[in-house]
Amino acid sequence: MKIKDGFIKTEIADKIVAIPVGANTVDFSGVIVLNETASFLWDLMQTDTDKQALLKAVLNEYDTDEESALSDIDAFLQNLRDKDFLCE
Amino acid sequence: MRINKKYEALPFSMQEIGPLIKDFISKEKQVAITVTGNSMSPFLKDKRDKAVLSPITRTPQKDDVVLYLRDNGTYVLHRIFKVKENEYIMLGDAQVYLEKGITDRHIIAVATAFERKGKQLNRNNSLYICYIKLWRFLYPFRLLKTKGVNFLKRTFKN
Repeated sequence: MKIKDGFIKTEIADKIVAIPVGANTVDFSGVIVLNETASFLWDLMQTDTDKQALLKAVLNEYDTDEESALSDIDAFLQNLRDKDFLCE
Repeated sequence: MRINKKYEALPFSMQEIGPLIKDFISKEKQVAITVTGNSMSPFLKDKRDKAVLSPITRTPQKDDVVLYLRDNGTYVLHRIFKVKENEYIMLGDAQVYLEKGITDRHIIAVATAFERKGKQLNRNNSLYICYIKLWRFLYPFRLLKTKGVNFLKRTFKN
């Protein structure tokens, strides 16, 4: 799975955001704010990956346990699904 | 580092996204934004409605809604009330006091379509055009009402 093409990650007002960018239209109304963790996961998901690879990367990067990491990854993935950002 | 859970979609103020909008418009992209503030009410309302901004392809005209950058650095989305030889006179739909001194160099983009209460409409929509005409007709009465209210406030304050 990976994040669909057609988004750019940039910064607005000191917040990291992802903005949907179509062929001709940039949609600021669909902008999503990424906290540090989400931004980290977002970058990993620019190429095809799976949950295990994400989990491994998060555990390497953050001071957390496996259960918490999985819970947060699942929440992030669900958020992406809800917004139709995910390609599975 | 600890994991942080919150990520959400938030509307940003025009001041925050203005420079990015300007950049995308300069690259010939259209930009869709959620309206912030109520200066264009009743047509466009804060966080409810959207505008699609397009690069300028013709000279802005009376009644166009345009995004412009004031000399003080403020990004504004208002309607052109009047076009004079060397300037545009601007007025938000909710406002009564005219803004003068806006020129072509201030204008960044023109709104070519809107989403109002969830419904799409472009600037050629006949009902929208009727609204513009009606709102323009009502302008002198709105101005008079505001001046009257301000007069009464000043009078009874003393």
